[in-house]
Amino acid sequence: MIESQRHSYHLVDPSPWPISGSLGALATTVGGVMYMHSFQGGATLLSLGLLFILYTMFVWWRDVLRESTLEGHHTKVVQLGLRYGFILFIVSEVMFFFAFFWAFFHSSLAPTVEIGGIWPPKGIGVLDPWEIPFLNTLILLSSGAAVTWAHHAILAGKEKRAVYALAATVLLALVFTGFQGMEYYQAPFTISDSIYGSTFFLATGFHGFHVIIGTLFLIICGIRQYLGHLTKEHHVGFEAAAWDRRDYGRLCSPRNDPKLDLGLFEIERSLIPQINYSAINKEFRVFTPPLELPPRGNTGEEDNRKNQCGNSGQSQISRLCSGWVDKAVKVGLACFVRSARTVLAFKAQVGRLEGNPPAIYLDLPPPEPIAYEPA
Amino acid sequence: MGKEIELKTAPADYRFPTTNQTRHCFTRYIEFHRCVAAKGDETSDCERFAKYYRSLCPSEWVERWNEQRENGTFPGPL
Repeated sequence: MIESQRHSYHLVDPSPWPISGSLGALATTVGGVMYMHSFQGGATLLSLGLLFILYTMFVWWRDVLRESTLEGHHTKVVQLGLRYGFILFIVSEVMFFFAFFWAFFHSSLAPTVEIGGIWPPKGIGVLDPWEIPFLNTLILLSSGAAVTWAHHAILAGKEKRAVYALAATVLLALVFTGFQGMEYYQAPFTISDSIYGSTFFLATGFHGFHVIIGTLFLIICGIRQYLGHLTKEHHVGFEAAAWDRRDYGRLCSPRNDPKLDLGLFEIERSLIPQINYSAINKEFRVFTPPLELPPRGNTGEEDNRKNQCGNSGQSQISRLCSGWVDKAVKVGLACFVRSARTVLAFKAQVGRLEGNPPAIYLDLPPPEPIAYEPA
Repeated sequence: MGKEIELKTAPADYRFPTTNQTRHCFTRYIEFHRCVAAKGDETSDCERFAKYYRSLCPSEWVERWNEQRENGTFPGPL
């Protein structure tokens, strides 16, 4: 069938996994609601739904790996589509976490009367951001550096080194998750302690969840690298993981509040998926005999296309994106600096007007009443 | 006609320039209680703060805050 194909697009076979995944998601949401409202059988339905989703994920991705690694359906043009898809996914993730930051700044920069107009709210013991959170930031950033190391190893065809780098990346991610779990366990507040606890645990919780997903992604990349699935020219999975990592790394910077741990979590996550499959593949080919695999579907035509793109191992879209992303990051940073300056200037102004200690409140001369002349 | 009654609300305060005067009300309530805590019940210094918050705040809010202060759950910086 592949031989008769006169184009390089992947026409997928009918698959049961989309509908099975949808049913699993339906069972999970309904079961989750039932469980949280103490309905009979809620826990069972929830567990069944989650199992169904996990099973679907396993078999679906197993099929994708078969289509790409064994059947050779992931031609250059298909890889391009996969990259676009993953870029869109990352953009949606950025927006997801943007909402959490928005909620945090909305609640903390102008605390409402309901929490006494002060931040943190009365009775909240704040974690020192320069202790575990700062350490975790460094760990996450190191994990990102390690994944970049892995990518370069893949691109250079150093398969063994790529595996080591991936192992380092995953190890750092696990250390991060361990510290985060410890901090959660010892935190003096909970998710139900005012808007402070809500924003803190929602944001850091989703960040930790994403770090864990990224760790799994990197573990899979490492296994595939070890098995020699990744080549210089063909490592979309690793690139996706790497983009993921970098993206999150860029998200994180402000660290004067525990909430901003979120940024760190994200950095770690973005680091994890950066395994370069192609470099991994090349390195393995150096040291191991070629895999006993059926020949790839692409023929000479495909090889010509590869040559046109150069053998740098970097796709056109990734070249295109790096310039675009850098520009966006610069603009974003400039915007951040400007808004921070505005906020600081505003705070200084307000501080002059109202003063912080109670004594100043009392010593402030009362504003002159506005005289209204009766008509 | 007897003496005319003078009707006044809290004066405009440059700390609270917006239409929404929730924070103005809350701050005056806190200022009153800080004033009483600092100068005692006897002085008349604090009266004007009481007038301000009473004219600005819905009475349900004041009742709730008074209750919270009695229970020790008032969230504001007293």
